[in-house]
Amino acid sequence: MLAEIGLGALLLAFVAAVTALLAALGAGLRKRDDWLRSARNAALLTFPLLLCSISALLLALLDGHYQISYVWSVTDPATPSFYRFTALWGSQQGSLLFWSLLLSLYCFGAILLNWREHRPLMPGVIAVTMATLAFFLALSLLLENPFERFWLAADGAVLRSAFIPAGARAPDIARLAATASGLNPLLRHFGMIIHPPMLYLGFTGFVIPFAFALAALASGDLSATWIRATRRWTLLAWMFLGLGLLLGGRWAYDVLGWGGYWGWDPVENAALLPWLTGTAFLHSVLIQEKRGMLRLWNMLLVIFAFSAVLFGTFATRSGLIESVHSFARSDIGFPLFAFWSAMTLVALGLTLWRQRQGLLRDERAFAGLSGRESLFVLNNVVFAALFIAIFWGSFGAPLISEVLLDAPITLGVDYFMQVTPPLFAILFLLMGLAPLAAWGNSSLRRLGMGLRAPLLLTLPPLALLALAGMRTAEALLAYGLVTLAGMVALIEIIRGARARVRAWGETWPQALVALFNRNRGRYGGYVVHLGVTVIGIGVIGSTLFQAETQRTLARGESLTLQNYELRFDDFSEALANDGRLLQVAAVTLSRDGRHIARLRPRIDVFPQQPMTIAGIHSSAENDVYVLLTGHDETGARATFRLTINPLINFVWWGGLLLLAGTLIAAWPQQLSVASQRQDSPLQELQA
Amino acid sequence: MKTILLALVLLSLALPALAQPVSDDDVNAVAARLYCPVCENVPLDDCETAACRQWKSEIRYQLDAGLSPKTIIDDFVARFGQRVVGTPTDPTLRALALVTPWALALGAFLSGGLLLRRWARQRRAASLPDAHDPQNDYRARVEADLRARR
Repeated sequence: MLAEIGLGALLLAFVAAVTALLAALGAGLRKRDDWLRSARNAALLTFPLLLCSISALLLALLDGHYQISYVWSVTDPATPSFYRFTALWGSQQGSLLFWSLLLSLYCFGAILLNWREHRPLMPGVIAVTMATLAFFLALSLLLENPFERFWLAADGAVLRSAFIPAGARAPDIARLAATASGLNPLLRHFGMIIHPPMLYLGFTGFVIPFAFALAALASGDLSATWIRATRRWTLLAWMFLGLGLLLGGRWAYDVLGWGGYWGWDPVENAALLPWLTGTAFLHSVLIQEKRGMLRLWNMLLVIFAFSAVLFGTFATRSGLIESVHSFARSDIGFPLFAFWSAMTLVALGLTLWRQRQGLLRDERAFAGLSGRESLFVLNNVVFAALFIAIFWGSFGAPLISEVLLDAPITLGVDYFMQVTPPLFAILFLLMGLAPLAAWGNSSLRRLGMGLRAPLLLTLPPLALLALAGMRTAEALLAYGLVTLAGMVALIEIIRGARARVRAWGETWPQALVALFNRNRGRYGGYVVHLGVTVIGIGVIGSTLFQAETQRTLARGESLTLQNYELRFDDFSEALANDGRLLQVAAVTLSRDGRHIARLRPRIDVFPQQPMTIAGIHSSAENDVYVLLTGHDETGARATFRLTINPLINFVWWGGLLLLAGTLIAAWPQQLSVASQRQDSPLQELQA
Repeated sequence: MKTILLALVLLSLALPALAQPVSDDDVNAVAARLYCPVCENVPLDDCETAACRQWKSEIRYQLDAGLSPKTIIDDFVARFGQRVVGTPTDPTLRALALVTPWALALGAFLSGGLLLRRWARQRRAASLPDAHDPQNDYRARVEADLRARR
């Protein structure tokens, strides 16, 4: 029954999406408001219908309906309830349905929240979002149906079909349960309950700015209206995608067992590309808002951000690239490729058309090379260069080399560590300079004056690092640039609050609250900059100063790395409730001869594959990461890999700051009476 | 002289025995520069499949036999293709891989530079007085009159 309910709701959602698409197109062409209202109602209906469909699938997973082939392929009777929930996005069919649900949720929110204010753009917005949703629902219905069931034909053959074939009957459920596959071991991790939803929320969220951009292009209303409507949605999608990337890094760190969090894997990079484009847009859109410039560029960035989302989805799910994420491959590659190409070409065609009509011309002339506009343009150029370098390394070079030269190549960490660090260094430099430059014509002298305090505050930590023994030029330069960017953000916040304290006699906490209330976008942005600074500190430390060693030890033997000592104490085996064999080593970790932790690195042996789960001793200074990589038959000798990851926890803490900053920036502006008070020096400071 | 020669011969015979045994770290240092030939995009030192363990054992034997890391990597490339290294060793493929992104990035920087230059020109053009502006003629005549009165 659950399969019928889920399939019925899915089919109705598809019909609603197509109806909304046609009605919205008609409303746009014929200027019929009644059709537009019908389009809205049909579009709003897709979310509850998909919620119903996915609830049916979830209940089937939780209740073990193994006749549904998706349930059979991602769970088995030993799967705990927690992982039955995460199994919803554990394979292609379920994750596609989940993708569609989140897409319909965004459409639901965007239509309701923008209906009155942006009514003229609504036909285009509904048409684009519903076209996208209808495409993904069609994939679910026709190619990757999560409600397909097993049937036994009269001749005994096992069939898979959404509807009962003529003469077939349902197979024995107990037999199906006994042969069920179970969830991919790599997905049996707490992070899996939150990492994919965050990533999908990020991916699908970019459809809203894209839809508004296309609606603006189609309607010819290319004023700042569409920008105002989309900025908050872009920020939301950007935040979720950033969180998804960070959580993915944490999952890789905990589960993949190689001591790192970012392997420059093509699938990771496919998610990074729209995030980079979104970051560039969030900066350059300020120029359009404040100065009426870069209108064409902003349009292109929004188009490329969603195009990168569709390309990433295509690359991840089509088998275009092989990686640890390849569990999600299937034969939907060509339809995804066609849809990605069509959407991108239509969007670029519309942009070209409007550009030729002069509708994307800048409203204001450039004021000076040292103004904030120029620095933002440079920032966008660096983001574009990063996009190119990462796209080339992940997809461009391997595909061209394989297709044209018949020589498959891999561009791995070596390539990315040669190409990306200089670009990231320039980005951090610009992150430090841009907040100090004024809009319009800013003098270099003013920029230099503004830099004095942050530079002075940057020097002492660098001197301390040099005194502590860090002498490599690249590390000092990297830390110098990152610290400078952070100091600028911090000083800008302090300057703003100090102005309020002096002008209004507010206490520091009052001044800070009022400051953030008054200009959430700007000060939320500074908190994001601080978050990125903290992440930068962690990335530099864990990349440049990572230390590693591996040895085989007999019980009682030790290995040392820097001032840490690891002693192998014991080895044991146990069978877990879900059927995996746990091979656990007990080790003692000491530092300078002092016992600091007892860790239990282990190998989880699943029928499909073994997984190495690290034992981690975590502190602000570093993570000591211990992997059990092998052992002899009796467990008398075991091989350990010991890795020291300096400052790695700054990566996760910076992520929290990034989240806080984005929430501040995206929160709707409601000025309190106190924070609305302005006088001329404050306006000067906070403009 | 004979004693010295005898000592040298004995020393050369004893050298392999005195040489440091190949450690896991030595093997991983080479394996980290290689990618698993079977499971794509997984560095060999991190790969724990049976095939990868065997390849790592092979690297250990090769190091033990005195082969340099470069020779071992070249051997892997000869057997499994350019896919097993993080950046291709073949000069053409290496140039394609490494030069192209910089060329494209340079293109992006040049485009940005051209945009800024165009903006700067527009600004200069906007701030320069128009030679055919009647206001300019009028201003010139007023200034000439003022100079004449002085």
